[in-house]
Amino acid sequence: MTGFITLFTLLSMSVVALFSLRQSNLTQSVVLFSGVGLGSVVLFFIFNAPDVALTEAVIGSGITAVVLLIGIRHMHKEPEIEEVMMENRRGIRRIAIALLVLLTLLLLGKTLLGALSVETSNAGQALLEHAMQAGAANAVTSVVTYFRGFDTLGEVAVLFLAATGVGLLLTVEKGEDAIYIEPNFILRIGSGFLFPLILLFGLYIIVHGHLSPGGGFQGGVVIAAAFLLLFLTRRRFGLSHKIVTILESGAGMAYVLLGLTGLWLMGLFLGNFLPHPAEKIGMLVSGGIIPIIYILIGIKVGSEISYVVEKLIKRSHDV
Amino acid sequence: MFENLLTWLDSPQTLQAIVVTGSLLLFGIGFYGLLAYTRIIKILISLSIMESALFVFFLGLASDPHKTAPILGDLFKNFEKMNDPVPQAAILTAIVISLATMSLGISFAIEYYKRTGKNDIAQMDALGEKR
Amino acid sequence: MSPVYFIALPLFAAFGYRGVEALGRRAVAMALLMESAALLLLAASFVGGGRVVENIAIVQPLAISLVIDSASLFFVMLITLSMTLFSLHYLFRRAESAQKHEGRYFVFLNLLMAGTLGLVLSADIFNLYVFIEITGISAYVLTAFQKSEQALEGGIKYLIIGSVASLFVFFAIILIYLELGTFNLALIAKNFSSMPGPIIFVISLLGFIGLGIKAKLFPLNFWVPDIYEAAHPEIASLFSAIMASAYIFLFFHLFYLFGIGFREFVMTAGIVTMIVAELAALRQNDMKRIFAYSSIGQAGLVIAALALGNPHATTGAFFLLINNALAKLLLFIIVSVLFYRFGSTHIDTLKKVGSKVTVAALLMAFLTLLGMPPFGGFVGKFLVLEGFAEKGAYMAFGAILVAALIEAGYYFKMAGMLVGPNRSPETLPLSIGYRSLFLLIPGLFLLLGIAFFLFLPYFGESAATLSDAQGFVATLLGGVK
Repeated sequence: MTGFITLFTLLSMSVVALFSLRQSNLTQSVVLFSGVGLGSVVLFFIFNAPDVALTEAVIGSGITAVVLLIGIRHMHKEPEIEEVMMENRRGIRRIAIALLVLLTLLLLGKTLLGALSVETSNAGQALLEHAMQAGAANAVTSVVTYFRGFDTLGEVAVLFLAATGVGLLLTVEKGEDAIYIEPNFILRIGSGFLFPLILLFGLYIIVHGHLSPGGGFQGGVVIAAAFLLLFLTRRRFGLSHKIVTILESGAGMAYVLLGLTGLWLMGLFLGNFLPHPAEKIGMLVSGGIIPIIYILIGIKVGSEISYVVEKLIKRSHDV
Repeated sequence: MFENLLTWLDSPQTLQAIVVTGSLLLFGIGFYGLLAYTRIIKILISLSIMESALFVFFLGLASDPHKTAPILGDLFKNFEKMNDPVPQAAILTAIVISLATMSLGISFAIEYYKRTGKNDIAQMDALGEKR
Repeated sequence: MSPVYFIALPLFAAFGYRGVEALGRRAVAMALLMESAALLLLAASFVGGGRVVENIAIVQPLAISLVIDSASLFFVMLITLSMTLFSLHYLFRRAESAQKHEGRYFVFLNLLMAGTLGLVLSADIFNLYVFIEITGISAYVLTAFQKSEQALEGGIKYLIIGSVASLFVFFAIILIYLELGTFNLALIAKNFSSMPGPIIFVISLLGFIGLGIKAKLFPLNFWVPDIYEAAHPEIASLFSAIMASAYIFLFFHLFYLFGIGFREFVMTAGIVTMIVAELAALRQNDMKRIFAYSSIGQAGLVIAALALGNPHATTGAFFLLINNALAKLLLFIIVSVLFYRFGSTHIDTLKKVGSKVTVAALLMAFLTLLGMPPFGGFVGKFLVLEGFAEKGAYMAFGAILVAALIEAGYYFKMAGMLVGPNRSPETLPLSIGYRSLFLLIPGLFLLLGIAFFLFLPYFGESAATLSDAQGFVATLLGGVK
């Protein structure tokens, strides 16, 4: 069945992607686009990658679509008739581009199909042999936070940059410029009921990052989704920027310090200097610094994405 | 007949061919969107589609359907016959980076729109040679 | 000391930006200055230390490593030195005009430094991708930092172009992992030629497009002048001095390591880049655009010299790189000072410059960029030309001379506005700090030109190390089979 599902999903993803691009209404375009993300979630499950599937679900198609939709609401301008006419008039140019792209891809596809041979004795298999010593049940988590922890530190820095950049760009001098719609009864009551549940779920994902799929990034975004619900339904609700800053700065600095502690104690940056016996695998407290790093990432990502979403919804001045 | 077709689709060579052609098709659609459309949101969507295509390409070729996800559980007590965790970790990183770029791009676009009322790169004219 | 501090210190400082901001008015600039000076000293402590490999989290060949050898050390010193000089300027400017979002500015500058240092040091190809993104995103935001229409337009364009470039690089990295099963640069270098020919071609092409966009190679550099124009001049100084150098290093580091064959092609691309850029610079009236095109031209010359693979030319290219970094830093800092005073970056502004120190500094920067003795640019150009002559590449030799003539055209035009008739000098109040900075930077490239024999052995060694792929692989893998 794997082959059939892969074929079917990939074809539907392509069709949806094409429709998403051809829509002149941007909102519909974004909704279709999140369908592409949904397709890749299915594929990642098929490919035995539950971690990636979860990430794609909450980040790739979830929060990205939210960010896009909020952006479109800020730029609420329906394309004028003239513009649509212009788009249509560019038809010939588009056909030329399409043909060019098609030709390139045919060549590329032919080359790859003919010559690509996947190497099976790779770094991943070598790391799996070490994974027992890392002490975490989830090998992807071991790789993300420990073996390739340096990448993740960089990734955290990228997200931090983006959050700071959004904060810079969407800060207005005074007043605020919010998008807000009066919520109906069900949304208002429901959000109050759902908020603690989603928050708890996010925390669960973060804390169990070394045992099951998920972790700091995914859980952090789920926490941000809980706050998103509150931003949408409660006009007065706002995050305390002081607390957000302390959380994100503190978690980031603690991450770097944790890495440096490994350097000082073991001679390896981000070395796992806490005890992480292999017998303890599967317990909540296991894996040495791995769960600590994921919790720090969870705090950082949760506060940053909440901040980004808040800034996008209401372009307010800094507090 | 249908059974045969399903087994044929499941064979490693066919699966690889499906992943390569399918994800390249998706990549191509994204690339087409990038070149052919000019509204900023459309361009960001195109970039994201291209990224998704690359993730599917990578994971589809790197994973083996006969192995399990690299997570220990009640049935799996050691890391043997498990899928390669490195591509998964790499894609996880890339997805987060893609979100970062996307949210930054959107905030650029919002601020640009609020200042100029334009949302299309074809209308941009503030830079360039001036006589 | 460990090379990890080159990355860890800027990251730590960036994460704690609110704390630095809370310390007071000048704290941000002071912190940046102290930090980059500390990193410069740290880099100096590695001089003559051979090749140092620092593994992260686990041991080779699975670990991500940072490798510091005389080639990457040159670029580390270039980056930290430029950042130190920049933060001096920042400190002096900060004393005169306040700026909003000081703390955030600190974040982006720090991460630009961390990203470029990572590009130079990291020996893991996926890790390099992460650093490309860190560098890129800081650069996008820095371009748009002023939030004017121009700045935002530049930011959006840069973001799109930059994302496309890193997408291509990511594609190449995926193919490498699928084929060779590793991200480790040494292992990839060892087995690169064992891949089937068509795959090598596809990977080289994708990498060439991706890194060519970042390293401003013709015809992938159409976006550069717009970005330099959109950004604040002081940001453009960093782009020209730090980012361009780091990407040129990365391009050739991978080029030599993987033994990619299109040497003639890259050399021709470099020469064409140089000629086209210098010709385009002639027609410009905006100083930011002129210096942007001049940066592209210098980058083209350096790329051509490095692709030639002759020891003289490579050593000369290193001289040119540091000379261009210092000169462009100086020029853009002066443009930014003039911009604050006169509110314009049109070349006519030069007629109003009344300060003797500034005029002298500008003239010296022009001369060293032109490659006139006794400045550093002369040594660089001389060595490069010697290299081309040795290899018998007389077409390229001639092209470099022609490009120098074209360059002379627009630099003399600007010099004419500085010293010629029809001037209407206005006072340019300069603090004592600025005066000394305008003397310090020309002093540095004058030193480079006069005392070139001091630097020659070091640069020669760096040049030899850059193309020494076997040594890199052997040291990185050490005892590992």
